[in-house]
Amino acid sequence: MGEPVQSLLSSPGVRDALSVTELVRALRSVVGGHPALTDVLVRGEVGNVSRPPSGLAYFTLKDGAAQVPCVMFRTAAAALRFELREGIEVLVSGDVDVFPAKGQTQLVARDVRPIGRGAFWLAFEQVRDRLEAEGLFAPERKRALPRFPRRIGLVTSEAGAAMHDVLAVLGKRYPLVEVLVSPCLVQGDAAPASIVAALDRLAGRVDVAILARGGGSVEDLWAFNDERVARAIARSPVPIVSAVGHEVDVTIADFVADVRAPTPSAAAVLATPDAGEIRARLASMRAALDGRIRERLATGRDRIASIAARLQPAGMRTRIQDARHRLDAAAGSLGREVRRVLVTLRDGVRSAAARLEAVSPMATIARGFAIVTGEDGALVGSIAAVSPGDEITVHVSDGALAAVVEERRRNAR
Amino acid sequence: MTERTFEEALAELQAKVDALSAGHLPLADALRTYEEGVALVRLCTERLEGADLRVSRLSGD
Repeated sequence: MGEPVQSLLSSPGVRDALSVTELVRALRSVVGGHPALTDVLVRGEVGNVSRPPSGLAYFTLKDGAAQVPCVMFRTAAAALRFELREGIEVLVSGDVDVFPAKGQTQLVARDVRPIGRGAFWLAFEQVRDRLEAEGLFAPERKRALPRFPRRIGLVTSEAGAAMHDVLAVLGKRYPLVEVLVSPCLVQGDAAPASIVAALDRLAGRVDVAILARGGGSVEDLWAFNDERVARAIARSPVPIVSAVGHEVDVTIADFVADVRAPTPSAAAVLATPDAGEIRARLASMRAALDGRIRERLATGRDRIASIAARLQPAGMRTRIQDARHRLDAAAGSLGREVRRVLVTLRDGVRSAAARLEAVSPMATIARGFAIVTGEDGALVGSIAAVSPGDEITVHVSDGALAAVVEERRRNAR
Repeated sequence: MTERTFEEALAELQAKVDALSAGHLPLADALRTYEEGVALVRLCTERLEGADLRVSRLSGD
């Protein structure tokens, strides 16, 4: 501060000073295109994500001790198949460059790929999007479950709790069902192929199948996000109930399945009717049968009573016999001419008595009525019991007539 | 009784209940329907109560 202003301005340092632009340009010329800083692959954790409307993506890539600002240009950012989120581990490929306006060295990311959990997530999205575009998740593809399945397929690990849970619920709820266990691996690299084979093996053997696995980490459940498993579910000839992990776990298998159950136990419930409800239904049907037949019998009794009251054969017979006795007595005490008239009258009374005897069916036939039976031997009581062309038998007093129905004519009412 | 599935037996039973409830059956048919219905109730109940979950295993290929 002691030096005069003049001497500062004229000192060689000032004359030789670089402008900021020059400095940054120099920096950029060293950094940009440097073989060690071009086409690099960097692993780190994502932080400070910013995605402004311009379509660019900004974030930092960091590890425990350092961080570097990153930018993705619009095309590269739009091609990302997953959401850039803070905390995920990624592998970034790109070039280091200097951004002059801020004098900042940054990594220009051409591609970002998640690793660890992020990689799972990316694959999930890709499979999901592809299958969705194909329409495999469409609601109209979902098939209804049979109400009374005879045989249920169970695709699961024989070592798992899921199998035990499903069998316990089925045994309690609907023991009539038969269970066909189609065992498979439910985790690890070999699991998808194993699940596919187990599903395919059930084809044609069951009415419905449950695909189950107990809870686990995202990695544990990963086989159920495999595209091969999804396609095996889609091509299953019978409806599939998926029950993978806990309620919060959603897998691709759940999207393709006809019904998604939150847990293996819930799948067993969804796939079967409840024996308790069936018992109640049986009881109510038994009660209905008893009630209806009681009503029907009561109606029949009433009708018989009313017919009997109308005929009153005993009463009529007594009256007719009384009349006959009185006529006989009177005839004996009257003259010949009168007696002849009375005999005629008496014969009339006798024939009335004979008509009364004709109440029986056989006597009815003797009077010229006939009984008609159908081809099965059952009585024909209505035109509805036969069809034109049917052979019928007409029973008369001394035999039977074979006949064919030509036409049905309903009585006018 | 001929071998039929539980579901078929249940459906048949429901049909008998419906037929009897409609009330158009001649007395003899009504009685026969009733007896058959009661037999089906018995059959279904026996199947339900006598059932023991059958589990079999499909071996890998």
